[in-house]
Amino acid sequence: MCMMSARYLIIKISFLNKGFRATGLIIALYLFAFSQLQFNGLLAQEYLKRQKKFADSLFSKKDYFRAITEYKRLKFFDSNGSFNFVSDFKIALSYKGGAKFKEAANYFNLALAEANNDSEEFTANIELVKTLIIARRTTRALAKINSLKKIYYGNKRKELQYWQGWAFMFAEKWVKADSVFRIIGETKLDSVCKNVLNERYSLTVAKIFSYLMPGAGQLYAGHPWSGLMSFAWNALWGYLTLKAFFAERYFDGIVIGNLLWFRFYRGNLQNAERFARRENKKIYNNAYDYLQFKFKGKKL
Amino acid sequence: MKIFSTVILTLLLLLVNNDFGQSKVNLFSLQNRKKFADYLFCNKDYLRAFDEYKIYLSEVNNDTIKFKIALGFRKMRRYGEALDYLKSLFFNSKFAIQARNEYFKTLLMANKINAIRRYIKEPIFITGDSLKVPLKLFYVAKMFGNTNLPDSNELKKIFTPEEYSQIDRFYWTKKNLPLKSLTKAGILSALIPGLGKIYTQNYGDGITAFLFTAALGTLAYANFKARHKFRAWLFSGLTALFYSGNIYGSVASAQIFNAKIAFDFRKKLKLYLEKVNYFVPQYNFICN
Repeated sequence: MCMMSARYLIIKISFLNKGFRATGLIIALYLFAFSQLQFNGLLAQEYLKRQKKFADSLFSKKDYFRAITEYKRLKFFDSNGSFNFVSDFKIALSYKGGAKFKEAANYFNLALAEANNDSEEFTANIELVKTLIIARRTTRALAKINSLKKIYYGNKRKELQYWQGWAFMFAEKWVKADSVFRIIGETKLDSVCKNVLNERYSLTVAKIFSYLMPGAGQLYAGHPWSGLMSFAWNALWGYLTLKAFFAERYFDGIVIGNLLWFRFYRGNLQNAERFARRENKKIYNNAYDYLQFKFKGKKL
Repeated sequence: MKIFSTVILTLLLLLVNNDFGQSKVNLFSLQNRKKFADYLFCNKDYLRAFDEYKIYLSEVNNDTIKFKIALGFRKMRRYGEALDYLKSLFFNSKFAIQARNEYFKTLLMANKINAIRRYIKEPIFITGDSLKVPLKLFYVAKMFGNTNLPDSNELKKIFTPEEYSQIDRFYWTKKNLPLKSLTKAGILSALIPGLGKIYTQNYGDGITAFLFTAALGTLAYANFKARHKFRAWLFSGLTALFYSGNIYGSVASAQIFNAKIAFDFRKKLKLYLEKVNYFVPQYNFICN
């Protein structure tokens, strides 16, 4: 608009007398220069918008490596910083998409510093928490959620609780996760936690069983063959130890008892705990598989 | 005339401004690609920087960029690619000397000691000033390897007095590394179970091995004496097993001990080299 009026002025000036014509021409030229500057500014903005569109298209195609490059280019050439939040946020999401969680968390933090309003800040915070959870930095995620819960109320607080439940699940604190999901009425996730709690083996029970009867802990954790072997070894060395004591061969008894029987007894306790832990891991992984592939609600 | 010149000047200004504006907004112009690549490089986003640099290099030949790419690859520990880029700068380049220095530094960082020994003899590296750093790194490489060390007087000629005071210390440490003999460890354990491990400063294991073997041996002896044949042979077998295992364990312990000593020495030497940037001068044009 400004540029068109300057061009019009130059044409008009040519019809004025010589003195006016010269001064007018210079003024018009400066006006034209000013308009050019404005035009270049607008052009630059237009280029940046086009660049953002290009980066967005790569992001939507999940071409994260190139998307990051183009968002970084956008940020680098955006001298006004008007695209800073979008660039940082999308770079972070791309890094997260490429499983580069450390870099993703760094860029979410940068996005937080560039947030233009409360909504952007909250979104960046939630994404940061999700990234921390998926990176298994659950202690950090829970601390972040707790600090955010002091600021946000209503629906935002409910969303924070939702992700708190997820953080508890990934921290293998299923009881706490279950209670959080129950409070906010997330029935599906609540039932996932309940299933895990029902299926999982108690490490304490496994150990107590093995204390009382060698091999019983392994049997409880679903490893009957190992339980049987453990029982047999303990029975053999226990028998030889006791036999030595009854025959008053105390040195034999102490040595066999210490070096063989107790060694197998301790191994039996450790095995019971290890098997229970391993089986629990399988149960947790099944739950995570369900959450990743079959769960329909909001997820990491 | 005055008015005419003012008008011309204004028009020129406009043209320049317009051209500048156009290049500023074209984010994919060669100049902008270079600027962006420099920014990425300084932020250690090397792979993206390389992509941009490569597009730039397809249009413009620029040795500085090639040099930067080489250093970037080295930072990423992709030594092979770094060496290739450095090699391309050996001739007809303003970075010919620096590239040769960096080439040797890269070889040492990649632990290619034999390659250093081989290349130092090639005439391309033995030209005037370019020899200094490769030769220093050649002697340092000798300390990393297991071959014979050179005469300490040779070091004096090559290193500056400041460098020599440190290098000399490493030289004598390397010469007198307190390594343990594998044979001695094995023989000692054969004589007294556990003694080989004590020799390699593995005191806990040494005492345990001694007590274990002695206890099992006593059990075997007591059972033979009491004519409990089965138990006697069972414990004899166990004693033999622990006894031979202990000899093997002592040799292994000596090996581990030596490896640890060598590792600690290399670590200290590497730290020193990093501190002095492998005797290569720092460049201020890489990131400023």
